[in-house]
Amino acid sequence: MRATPIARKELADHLSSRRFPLLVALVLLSGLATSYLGVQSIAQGTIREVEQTIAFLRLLTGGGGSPILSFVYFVGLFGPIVGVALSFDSVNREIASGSMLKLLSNPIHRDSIILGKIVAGLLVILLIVFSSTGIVTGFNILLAGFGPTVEGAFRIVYFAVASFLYISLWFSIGLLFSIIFRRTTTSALASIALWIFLSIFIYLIADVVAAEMAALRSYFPSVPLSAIITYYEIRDAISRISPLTLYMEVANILLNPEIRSTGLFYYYSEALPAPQPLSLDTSIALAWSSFSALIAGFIIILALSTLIFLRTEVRPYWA
Amino acid sequence: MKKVMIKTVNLTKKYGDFTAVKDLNLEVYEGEFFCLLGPNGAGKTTTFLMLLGLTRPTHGSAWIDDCDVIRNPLEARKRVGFVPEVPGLYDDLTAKENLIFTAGLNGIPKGVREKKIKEFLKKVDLEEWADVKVGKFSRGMKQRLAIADALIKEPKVLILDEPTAGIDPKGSEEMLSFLESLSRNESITILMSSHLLHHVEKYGDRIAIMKRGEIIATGSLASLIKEENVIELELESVDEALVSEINALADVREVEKKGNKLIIVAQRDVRKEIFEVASREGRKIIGVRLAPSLERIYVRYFKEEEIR
Repeated sequence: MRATPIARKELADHLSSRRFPLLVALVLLSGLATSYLGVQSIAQGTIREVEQTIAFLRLLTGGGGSPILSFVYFVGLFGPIVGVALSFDSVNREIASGSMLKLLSNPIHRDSIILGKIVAGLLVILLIVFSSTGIVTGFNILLAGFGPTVEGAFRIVYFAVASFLYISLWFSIGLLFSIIFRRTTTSALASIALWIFLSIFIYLIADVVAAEMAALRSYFPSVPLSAIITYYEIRDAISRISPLTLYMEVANILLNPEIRSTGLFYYYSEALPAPQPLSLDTSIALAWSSFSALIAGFIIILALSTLIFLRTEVRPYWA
Repeated sequence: MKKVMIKTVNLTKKYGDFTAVKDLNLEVYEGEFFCLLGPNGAGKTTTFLMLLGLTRPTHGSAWIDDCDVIRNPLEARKRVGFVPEVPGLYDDLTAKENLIFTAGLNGIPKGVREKKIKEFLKKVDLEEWADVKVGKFSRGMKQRLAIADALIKEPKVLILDEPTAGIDPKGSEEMLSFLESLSRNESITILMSSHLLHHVEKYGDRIAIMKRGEIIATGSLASLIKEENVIELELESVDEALVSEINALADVREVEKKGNKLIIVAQRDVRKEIFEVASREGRKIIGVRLAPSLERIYVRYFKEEEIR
């Protein structure tokens, strides 16, 4: 396998591109801004008096303030942009410029080319995620005047791993589109369209479909409990098609030890009386189904991308 | 006897119902400058892609330096350098960085890389441009660098797809002279496609004319010319009666009048009969010469094909 020169070149391309500082700035600024808001929430006493581990982690999840203005939410929303921006033109641009044909005329396997691109892309995501999380955590310590406990620190590391996986999933979607579509504009638009669909419209669709299937009518004076349960189950199942749902579940469970369910009671479990926050192991076990779904999605899309690329005939100008 | 470096046997490529290349049988020898002629869509690029192992033939076989391209494409690609029509270099890298990248892909050890890169940049006259980004290069310079890029692995065969496209005449001549020197001095086999007949005429040892995926004529320029008798006749005066009389001669295929000159295309040498007609008509002959050109041969083959 001669993927190393390709990975090295791709990595240099990413790091020296104009996109890279923009993407880092996007993640970092949203992280720093939400840190500031989170610390203000602590100062105003909107975060409940809980032990230090939870209080610090709440700075990332929004806690008592608005969850929409949290670091987790911003990563969930802008992470796909980071992933897609690193891959939407990685194959079709090379084919259009003729460099792919030249590349393939050398004694290298095709999978080395795709592997080189994947490795470089993932390294850049790793760099963005871990450096941003590190900087935001440091900023939180500075502003809050206290840091996380050891378990809290581990929870942040696992959250960074989940963020890495989530952004990588979108990276693989961008890569797939860059192989399927000949034009970079088409692959970019397709990626954005999918992002909008899976971040916004999927919830509207899930709501409508679940309401119809559960025969839930809001104007009914009394709704049977079974219908409500069915409605939530269907809605959650459809929503979980979206990587955003899976990521938010994983991130919130990891960063909030008070959450004790991913199912119907997920929404209420935080508010339930908690004799003791969950241990890290239990939180990981709880998040595992969503986490493994993210892993599966990532692997399936990468495998599909590789397979399609291996079967694509590269001709000059796509003649 | 010279070694066969490129060999194809009934090489065929179909895309659904469309046959891009049909039963291609080709042999190109060591150190030969072989030119593939044909219009767009003739199947030249598809042939090259099959020879590089980048597209699988529907049926047939191909070998590069005795290496089966279909069974062992990676090994074949070690022996062949490819220069596509669009050089495909990275504009944001310097000339040297582009060659370092290709050297890395070909597993050339770091110790010898520098020396080789310097040597090949010198060969293509780009030594002074080594540290300049390729984006600033002219089309001709990019194409020269693409040749250096293909040569870095020291291939025995060099395949070039329309290498002179978009390059000025002087640049084209320089590039082709360089390629000719590679075939003559270093015994590198050159397989080149081109639209420019005068280039092929000047540099090609042998020529194959492709149309609709098939080779319709192949051989050296001399052997192709033998099949075509073009007589250029200059007279004191020419009129339509004389043109008609020459046209009526047996084996004369075409007579074209250009002022006091007649261009006569015949299936055999009909100079004797033409002299007789001219003397009978009392026309004074100023000059006569056999003047076949590749362009005429090329056009003839295409006309014949269309008639068929």
